[in-house]
Amino acid sequence: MILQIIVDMVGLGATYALLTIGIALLFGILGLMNFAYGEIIMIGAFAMYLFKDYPWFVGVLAAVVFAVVVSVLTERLAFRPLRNADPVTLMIASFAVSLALQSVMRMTVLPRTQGVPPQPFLTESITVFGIRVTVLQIVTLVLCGVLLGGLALLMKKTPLGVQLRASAENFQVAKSLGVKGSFVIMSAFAIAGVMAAASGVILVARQGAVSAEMGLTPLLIGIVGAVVGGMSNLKGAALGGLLLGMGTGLLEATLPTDLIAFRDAFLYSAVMVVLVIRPQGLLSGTKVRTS
Amino acid sequence: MTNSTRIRRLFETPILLVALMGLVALIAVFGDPTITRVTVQALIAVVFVAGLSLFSGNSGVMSFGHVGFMAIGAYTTAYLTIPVNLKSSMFSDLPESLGFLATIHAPFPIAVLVGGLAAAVLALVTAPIMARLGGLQAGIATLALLVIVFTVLNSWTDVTRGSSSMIGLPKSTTIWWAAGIAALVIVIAWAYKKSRSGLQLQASREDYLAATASGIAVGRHRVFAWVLSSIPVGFAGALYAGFFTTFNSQTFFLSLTFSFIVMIVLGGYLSLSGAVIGALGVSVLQEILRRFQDGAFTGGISLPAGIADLILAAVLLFVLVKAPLGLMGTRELRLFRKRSIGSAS
Amino acid sequence: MLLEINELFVRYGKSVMALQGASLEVGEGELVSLIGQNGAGKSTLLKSIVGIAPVHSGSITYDGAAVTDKKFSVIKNRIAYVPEDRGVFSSLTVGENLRLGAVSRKDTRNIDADIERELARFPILGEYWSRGASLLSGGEQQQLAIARALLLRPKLLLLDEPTLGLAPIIVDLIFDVIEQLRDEGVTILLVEQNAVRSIEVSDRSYVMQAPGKILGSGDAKELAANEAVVDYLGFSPTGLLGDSE
Repeated sequence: MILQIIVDMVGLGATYALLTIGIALLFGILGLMNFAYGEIIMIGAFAMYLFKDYPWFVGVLAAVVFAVVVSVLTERLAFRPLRNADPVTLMIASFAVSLALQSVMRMTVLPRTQGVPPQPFLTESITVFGIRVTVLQIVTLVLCGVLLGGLALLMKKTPLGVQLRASAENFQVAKSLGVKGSFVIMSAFAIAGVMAAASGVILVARQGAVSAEMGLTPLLIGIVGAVVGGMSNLKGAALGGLLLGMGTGLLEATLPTDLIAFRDAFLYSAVMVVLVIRPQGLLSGTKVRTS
Repeated sequence: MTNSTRIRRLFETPILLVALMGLVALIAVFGDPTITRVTVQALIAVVFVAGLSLFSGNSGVMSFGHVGFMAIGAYTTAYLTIPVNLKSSMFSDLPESLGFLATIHAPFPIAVLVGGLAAAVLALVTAPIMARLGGLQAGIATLALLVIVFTVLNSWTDVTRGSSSMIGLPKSTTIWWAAGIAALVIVIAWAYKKSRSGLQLQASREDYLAATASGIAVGRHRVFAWVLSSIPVGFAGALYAGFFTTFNSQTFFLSLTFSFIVMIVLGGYLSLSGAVIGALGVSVLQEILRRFQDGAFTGGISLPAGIADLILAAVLLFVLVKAPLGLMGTRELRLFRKRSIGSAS
Repeated sequence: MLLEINELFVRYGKSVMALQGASLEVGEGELVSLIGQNGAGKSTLLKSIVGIAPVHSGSITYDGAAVTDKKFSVIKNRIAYVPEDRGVFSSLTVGENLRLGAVSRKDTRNIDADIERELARFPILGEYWSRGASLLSGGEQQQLAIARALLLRPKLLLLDEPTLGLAPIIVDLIFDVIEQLRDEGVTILLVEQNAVRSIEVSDRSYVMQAPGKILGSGDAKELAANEAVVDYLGFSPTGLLGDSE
């Protein structure tokens, strides 16, 4: 029983970590709290719906392409003209981008919720040591592990990763050394797009449906995770997301049924408390950039 | 500056803005029912945005959570004005401790007042947090507040009916109520802006460190402005409830927040006149867009739903890029602009 | 002249004038220092060269090209800038910091050799190669910042107060390196508060007074002949000639 809860918690935690990373990456480099991130996830999920009659990997590939292209486009069209704006202005701008993407989708291809039947093999489950694990849970874990590990490698071992980390710490100095600011920012948006696509794929598999509004919940989760973990520190953010997911799983397993509906109220109250006590995040040692 | 110009400078803007409210109300009186509806909506928006501007304009801290206060005002009004016999059937599952809610009743003016005060109670509870946070942290915290209020309203179905609508409110908000409260809120917001506390808060907005270094208790002034600004916003919720007579938990969430943000950013969030003009202008724009969407201007061919939101988003982005401080910047509405500037300082 | 600054005015915000008509020249291969007290506007002058201070009026030309032109690339013209706070990335290792200095170079084959050369110049950096840069002392961070700037193979090196707050032995080391670089043919514009040492090592020096006015310039002898300069510095730089030669 306890093992079962732990397995569920870890699965949720890995999914949340993925959501948080996408938010934290852009925040670290641009100071952008990107409310349009949920819509990037929605675009990825939409690709899965569009290609639902093809083999599953076509949909996954399309999800990545769609999400990356849209993510990079939002940078080019909306955020680049605001490169030197303060974080609050950027946040308001991302609100606008979020609403614009939602309404475009609602106007054109996604006026109402559409079902996407999950791949049959995902719903099968296996039992190991008395714990029931669905294939979806395993796939989720592997996917999150591969992506988070891959991102860690990219940040640590490649020149691009070093430039991303340098830009996140001090964009001005990085530029004065010859780091190409626009390229780095575009890469960050592209990476965020990949993360969003993966989240979208997982979400579609879990919910079996896509809609124009589906981005809101994962977005709010990502923001909470980033705030809790430390917004400008990727490692902290990933851990924050993991903890948040595991905490949510624990709350769901232990909270009395009539309080589960209020789960988000508890979570967001915790966020406000964290903001006041440790604005740099619970798990981050460095001071957060406030302006 | 002579005494008379000082007095004129002090009263010029609020008088102009209040006169503007009167003018808007007159348009409604002589207009058809649609125009009346748009006007009342616009005036409710003015009440909200002027209240928000009381906090954001003086402190420089943007709040995404004020719609939460509005919700409190609206729900309070619902409890106080829905006829008692209807209420007992609507809320048959009220928890015992809240049983009194089913029997209380008050006239609309009292409901408006209590709605504002109830919002202030929530503001008071969250005030210690707002005193300590600025910039983006404050933005996220206020958003968290909005999500908390929404979650509670949406999930506590025994008391709030959640996503099923509140019904049976008497239609109480008249054009005069809306215009009168808008004028009142404008005067309050202006008075605060010119008060000692308001001026010190503006100083902290310009230079936080210098303000704290010169002994200004920024936190205390922020708390005061935060609580004070929640009251008009509670009024706006009450007016909303009394005008539309039905709403649910989804009403007071992100999309409403977004409209108000467009208004305050477009007009200029550092200026009270900007906030008021933004509220009026965007309300009219929204109505035009809505009709566009319904096909009123395109020969009956209705455009896909969502185009109004899309254009609103585009307008907001354009303003953020081209004029981040909005149409008014830090200026206020005045009659004698040239002479006022000439005689300043 | 490699770098010519003419009647430069820099303004922060609406009212704060940080530079008021400063003029300065640096010839190819020269070591020129700019000295003056805190707040004189020295750092602002360096920042205006690399395009991070808002130039209000006046001109900056580098190798005949207008630096204030939008198309002018500080990096492509191989101008390296070491800011006053050193700009070391504390979340990166020493090695990663160093490599970042060569990020814009096309001749990737020579980079390793250049790194070897800088490690020979600053042995401590080789020792701490894979440590986090946040663990370095102030003097070590300064060495890292200079070494990183040198990996651009700069034609013009701009140093902003490189010895500020460092132990005397490190100050000696930094000034030794500066002389060494001049001998290697790097053109250097050095901003310093340490007037004695700066005038001593430099070919020419400019003395700047707040708000951004040049009081006088020249070698030690010329400065000594300038009453305003002697008055401002509080000592006559002629003595330095006898001491150092």
